[in-house]
Amino acid sequence: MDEIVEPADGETVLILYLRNLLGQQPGFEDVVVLGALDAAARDYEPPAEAVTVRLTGGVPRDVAVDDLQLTITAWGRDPGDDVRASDIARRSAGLIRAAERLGYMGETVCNSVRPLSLPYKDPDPVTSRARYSATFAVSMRGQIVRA
Amino acid sequence: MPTNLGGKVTKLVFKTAGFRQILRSGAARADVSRRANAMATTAGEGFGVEVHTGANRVRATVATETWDAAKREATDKVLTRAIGAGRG
Repeated sequence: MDEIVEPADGETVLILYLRNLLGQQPGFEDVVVLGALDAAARDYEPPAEAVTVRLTGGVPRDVAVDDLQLTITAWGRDPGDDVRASDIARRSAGLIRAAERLGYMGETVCNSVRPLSLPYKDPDPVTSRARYSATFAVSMRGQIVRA
Repeated sequence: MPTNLGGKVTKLVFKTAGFRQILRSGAARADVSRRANAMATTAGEGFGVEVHTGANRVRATVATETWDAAKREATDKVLTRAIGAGRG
């Protein structure tokens, strides 16, 4: 077999994309974008404001493109920071949807972004910190791997 | 909308009542129920399914029924991850 097409690393693509664009948004420069926030771990010092990105599923569209289901969770600083968590989630959602118009998410071809759920209130049961989550189906072209 | 295909005008008329009849049929209810139950089963214990036949279509909801299930969705997104089970 000369070459295969493997699905794009959706989590990494979206983390780098959001980290870049959110950092350019006035008022959102200090929001940290990462893959997980281990708030339950002992001695862990979580960032004050953060967005976590998780791959929560997906289906292939054709031989080269997949619809990846990506869930973002925006964290506020404290349990009462609902408005700020909502702001971060909604700005992130807007940036994710913009990828469809750009045709790319970072360097990955992206022709479709379909919100499966817009940001909803999703407080963290461990820390009680304010959170908002949203889920998107994002089409990403896979990577060709040559043997 | 009239269309001209090779000189012959074809007019499509959607029968809304027919669509509604299909979307509210027993077969549609069984299919929606099967998909919702697949999601609930994949998500694990503590998730329940309700199927409703509305005015225009059948719809189903999959939701947490226990505190433990709600916590697992909040921490691990187990129900969100199970959405794909409803596609098959």
